[in-house]
Amino acid sequence: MMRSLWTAATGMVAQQTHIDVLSNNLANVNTQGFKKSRAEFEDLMYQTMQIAGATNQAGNRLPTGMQVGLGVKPVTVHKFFSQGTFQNTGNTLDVAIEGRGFFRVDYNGEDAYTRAGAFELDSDGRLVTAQGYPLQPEFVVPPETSSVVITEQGRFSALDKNGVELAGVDVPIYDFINPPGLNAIGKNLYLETEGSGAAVEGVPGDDQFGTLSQGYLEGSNVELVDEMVGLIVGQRAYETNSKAMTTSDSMLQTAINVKR
Amino acid sequence: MRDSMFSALFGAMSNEHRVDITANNLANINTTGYKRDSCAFQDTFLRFAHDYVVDSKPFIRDKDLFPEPKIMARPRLSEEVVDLSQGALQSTGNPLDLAINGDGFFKIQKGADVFYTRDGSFEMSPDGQLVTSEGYPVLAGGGAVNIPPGGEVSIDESGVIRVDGQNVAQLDIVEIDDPKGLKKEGENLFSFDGNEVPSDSTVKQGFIEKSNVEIVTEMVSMIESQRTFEMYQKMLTGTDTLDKTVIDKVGSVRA
Repeated sequence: MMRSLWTAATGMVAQQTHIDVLSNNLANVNTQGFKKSRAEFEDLMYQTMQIAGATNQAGNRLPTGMQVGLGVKPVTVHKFFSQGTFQNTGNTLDVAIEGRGFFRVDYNGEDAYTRAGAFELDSDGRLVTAQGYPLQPEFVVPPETSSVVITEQGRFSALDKNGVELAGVDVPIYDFINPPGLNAIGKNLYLETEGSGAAVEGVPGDDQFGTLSQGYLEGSNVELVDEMVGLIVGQRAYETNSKAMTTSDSMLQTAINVKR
Repeated sequence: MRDSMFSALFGAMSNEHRVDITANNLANINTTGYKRDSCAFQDTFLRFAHDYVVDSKPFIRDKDLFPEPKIMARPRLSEEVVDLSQGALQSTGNPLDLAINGDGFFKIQKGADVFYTRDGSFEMSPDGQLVTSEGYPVLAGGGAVNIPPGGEVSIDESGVIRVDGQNVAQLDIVEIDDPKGLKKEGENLFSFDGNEVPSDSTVKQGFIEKSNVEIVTEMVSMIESQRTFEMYQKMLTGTDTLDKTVIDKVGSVRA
């Protein structure tokens, strides 16, 4: 009986994680470049009381064994790097990546990767993210610039009013063998890990790399309806596990009442 | 009198076991590819009756030919069966999520052993291999699958993996000849020592198979176990009261 109490507890803890992940998805439904996550579960170990194929008292081989499972555990929170929705902002410094790839930014001396392409200019004229992390390689827009043009292949150019290029840089984008293995550190940034594999540099539009779209932002890929259904499922699963817990509790109570 | 007490005890113990199994099913209600457990009871009447059968007598006159067996219903858990029925398929849109439609299993390499699973929420390892959530390689053609990075992965119904239209590997999907011999190992894996048979199951890309646990069934079984447990408790206390009465009556001197 104590076994089922603990089993139900693992179920409730797992569903709690499930809801935590869903709430984070919902909280970021309007975050640029946000990628939704999904919690995955697996069954915990089994207590084997009787091995299949054992011999019983009558000398027959038992066709099946007897195993009691001890619950569930969250195994991974998988990030989905599917494309988010595109939104036309008309802002010349907004860039979206259509397809695979990440921008590289300088995160306090470390390389960090992002798909949130809402860039701004800092006081030195550098192209930086909303939090002030400069895009790599750095692109400085001279003060005389009248327009900034970003091509699909990643050429960032600052033009004067006659259309002459004052400054320009080719910005590569980066891809990973296993993007779900990236370490999300918040601020729309990801760090490379052993799990993601090393960053592969590429020119936008080449091979698997996506192309750039100026004047667009990538929204999150969170589907509100999916998350809502997930919440319902998670809540009900939590409830049934709490019922399992109260059931085994009241059975314990019954057992205790045997002794008067 | 004791007999009824032991019968009730065995009954209560089996029910406790049943609640453990139900609780595990409920805990795994959202586990991908989980298959519910169910259990069956048998009474041990035969075995106990046998203990009371004395040597048979060749002649009717010798009596005792059919001695009265002691009937004691002492149910014990006899077997546990994994219910392998199909779980619902849920669309995820992730190209590496696979669900099996049919009775087949994916083959997984864990250490030196091969395991079976219905959990097709696969991922890419940093080495470019197709692996389970726990990082165990998925087998195709007897070995691990290497998927060239960056390509568009498409997996057709028969389990052929193509990357950008290039044929990469054929997933090993097998059935087993005796599903009763499946042993759960945790981590969504089954082990089995028996024969594999070819499967005609189909693979669906972008879907995962939910667990086949149904809340209502489990809840009903929970209520049933709880109430029977209470019943056994009543039987135990009833027997106890009866014992007590007997002891009191015998032990007291009537005035």
